[in-house]
Amino acid sequence: MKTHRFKRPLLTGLALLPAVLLLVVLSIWQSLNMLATDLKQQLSPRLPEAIVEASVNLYELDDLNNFLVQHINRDLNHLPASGILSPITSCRAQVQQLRGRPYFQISTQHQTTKRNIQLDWPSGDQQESLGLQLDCNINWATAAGVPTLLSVLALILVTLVLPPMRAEQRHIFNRLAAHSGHRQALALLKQQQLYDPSQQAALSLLLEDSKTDPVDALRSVSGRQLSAPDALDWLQCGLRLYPEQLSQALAIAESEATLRFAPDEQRLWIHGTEIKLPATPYFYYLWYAGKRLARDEADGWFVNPPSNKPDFPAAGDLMALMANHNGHQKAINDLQEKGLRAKTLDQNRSKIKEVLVATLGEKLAAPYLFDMERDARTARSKYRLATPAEKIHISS
Amino acid sequence: MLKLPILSPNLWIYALVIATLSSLPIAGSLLLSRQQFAPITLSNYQSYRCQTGGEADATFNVLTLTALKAKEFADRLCANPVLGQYYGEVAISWHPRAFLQIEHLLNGQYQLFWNRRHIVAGLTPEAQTYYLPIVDSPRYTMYWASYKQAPEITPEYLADKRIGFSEDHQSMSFYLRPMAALAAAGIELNSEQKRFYPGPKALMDAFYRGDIDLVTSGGDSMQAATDRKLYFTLMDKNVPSGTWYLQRNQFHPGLACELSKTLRLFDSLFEQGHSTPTFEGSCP
Repeated sequence: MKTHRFKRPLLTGLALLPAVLLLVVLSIWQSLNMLATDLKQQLSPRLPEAIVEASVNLYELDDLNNFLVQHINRDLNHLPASGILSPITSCRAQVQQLRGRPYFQISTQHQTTKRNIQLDWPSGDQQESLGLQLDCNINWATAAGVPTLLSVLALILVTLVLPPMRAEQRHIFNRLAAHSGHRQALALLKQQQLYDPSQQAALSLLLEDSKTDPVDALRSVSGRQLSAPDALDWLQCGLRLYPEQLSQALAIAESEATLRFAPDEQRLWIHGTEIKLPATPYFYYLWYAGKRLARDEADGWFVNPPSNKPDFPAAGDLMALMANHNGHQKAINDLQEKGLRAKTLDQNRSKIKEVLVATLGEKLAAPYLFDMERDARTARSKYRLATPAEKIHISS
Repeated sequence: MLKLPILSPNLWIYALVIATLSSLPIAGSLLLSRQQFAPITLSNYQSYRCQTGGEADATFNVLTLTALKAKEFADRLCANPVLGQYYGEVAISWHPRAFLQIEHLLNGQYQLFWNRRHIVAGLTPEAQTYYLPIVDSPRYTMYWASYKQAPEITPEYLADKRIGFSEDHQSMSFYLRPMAALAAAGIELNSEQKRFYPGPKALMDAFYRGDIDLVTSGGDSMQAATDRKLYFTLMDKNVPSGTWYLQRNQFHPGLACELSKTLRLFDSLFEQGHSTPTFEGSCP
C-alpha cells in the first residue's frame, strides 16, 4: 500500500526528467550568454581606449601587442560571477587575437561552454579588433541541483492540489469529510473510486440517510456483488425493513432471487428477505409452490374447484402438509369437513399478496405472487405461483 | 487552517494552478541564471615597473612618449647600481606629447621626462627652476616621400595629390613641419587633400596602401619597409627632436652620467646622429 502511494509521483517525476534536463541546459546556456554580454559591455569602450592610448606614437606594434596581451590576460584571468545559487562560479577570458595577430590558447574543454567576444574600434579609416575567448567554470551541483530542487518542490506543491470532482463524488466527499475529516475523506473517496458503478450507486443510496456512518457504509459495500438490475431496489427494501443494519440490507440486495421455505420452522424467505406469514396462508403458499415443483403437465396451475363441488383429494394433500409441519388444527379440520373450496383458496392467496406487498412493495413482490388465467375447459379461474420451479427451494 | 490536499472548485482554476506551479521552476532557474561579473578592473597598459633591488624606498618615475624600447630602458636602469643606490623601483609611462601639464612640473610627478624645448618653455617660463635638460635627442633630416615621382612642393604637382598628417598637432615630423613647409611654399590644400591619422603606424599603412600619395619620412630606412621604389625630396635638415629633463633635486652624484649613457638606447630610433648631453660636468 505504501509503495503504491509513492509510485505515481515517482513515475511522474521520471517522466519529467527530460524537461528538468532541458531546464538545466537552458539555464546554463542563458548564464553563459548573459556573462558574455556583460563582459563585452564592461570592457567596451574601456579596453579599446586603453589599447589605443598605449599604442601612441608607434611605427610598429608587435612588441606592444605582446605586452598588451600579457597584461590583458592577467587582468581577465579570474572573473568571479554574481549569485550563490547560479550555475557559473567564475570565468576566464583570454586573448585569441589582437589586431589580426593570433594568440591561441590550447584548451582541453569542449567548445560549447565557451563564448567568443570581439571588440572593434576605429583606427584612422581602418578597423582594429581584439578577440577574447570566455571560458567559464560550471558549478554542476547548483546548475543541476537548483532546477531539480525547484522542480521537485513544484511537483510536491502540485500533489497538494486535486482536480475538480464530479458532482456526485463531491456529495459523497462532503458527507465523508463532515464525518471523518478532510484527509480521511479523500482516502476513502479514493477507495470508493475503485468500486464498480453498482457498488457506487449502492453507496450513494446508503449515504442518503444522514445518520449513516459513511465509513461503515464504505466498508459494508466493499466486495459486494450488486450488479443485478434490481439490486438497488432490494437494497432500498432491505434498508426499509432493517434500518441502520447495513450488512443485513446489503445481504438482501446481494441474495439470489429465490423463494425458500423452511416448513419445519414455518419460515420463508424471498430474495433473502424473511416474510412473516400466518400459519395457514403459509401452507397454502407452500402447497402452490409444491405444485410448481412437481413439474407435471399441470405446470403448477390449479383450477379453482366449482363452488358446489369442493376438491377433497387436494384438501387431503394440504391437510397432510399442515399435519406434518404443525399447522393449525382448525384449518386442518376445516379442510377435512368441507374440502378445498375456491373461497378458501382466494382468501389465502389474498392474504399472501397482502403481506408480500406490504413487506416488499408491489414491484419486488410481483414475481412471487400468483398468475391467473381462465381455464379453457371449465371456464373457471385457475391460479399458479408466478415463481418458476428452479427458483423455489423447500428445505426438509 | 488550510485543508490539504486542496480541492479545485473547477477545471479552469485547476488548470491555472497547475500552469502557475509548473512555471515556477522555469522562472526560478532562469532568474538565477541572469548572471553578471563583479566590476572588472583593468591595469595600466601604459606603464612598466621594475625593481632595482636596492634598499631605498623612492621610485624613479620616467615619462616618455612611446612604448618603443620603454621596457628595455627601464630594465637597464633597474640593473644600474648607481640608480639602485638612490631608488628601489623604476616606473616608466608613455603618453602623447600633449599629456605633459604644468602640474607635472610643479608637483614633480616624474623625475625624468622627454619633450620639446618649446613646449616645456611654453608651459612655464620657470621650468628651469624644477627641471634641467640633461640630454638632447639626435637631430634629424626630414624628406617628402612618394611612390610616383620625386615630390615637388608646387601647386601644379600637388594639385591632385593627397598628403597624410598626424592627428597629433604637436607632432613635429608629421604635422608641424610638413604644414609649415606647405605654408612657406604658399600652398593651400583643400580638405580632401589632407588626410589625418591617429599615429605613425596608421599613417604609414595608409601610404603603403595607396590611400595617400605623399608622406613625410626620415629617409632611406623607409625603403626597407616597402618593395616598390620610393622617391625622396628634402624638406628640412637638422630638425631638433626633443630633450630629456631631469628633476633638479635628483642630481645625485653620478646619476646624470648614468642616465645619459642609458639614454643612448633611444638613438637607434633616429635615422642618424647621437644624443648630446647638456649638463655640466664630465662623465667617466
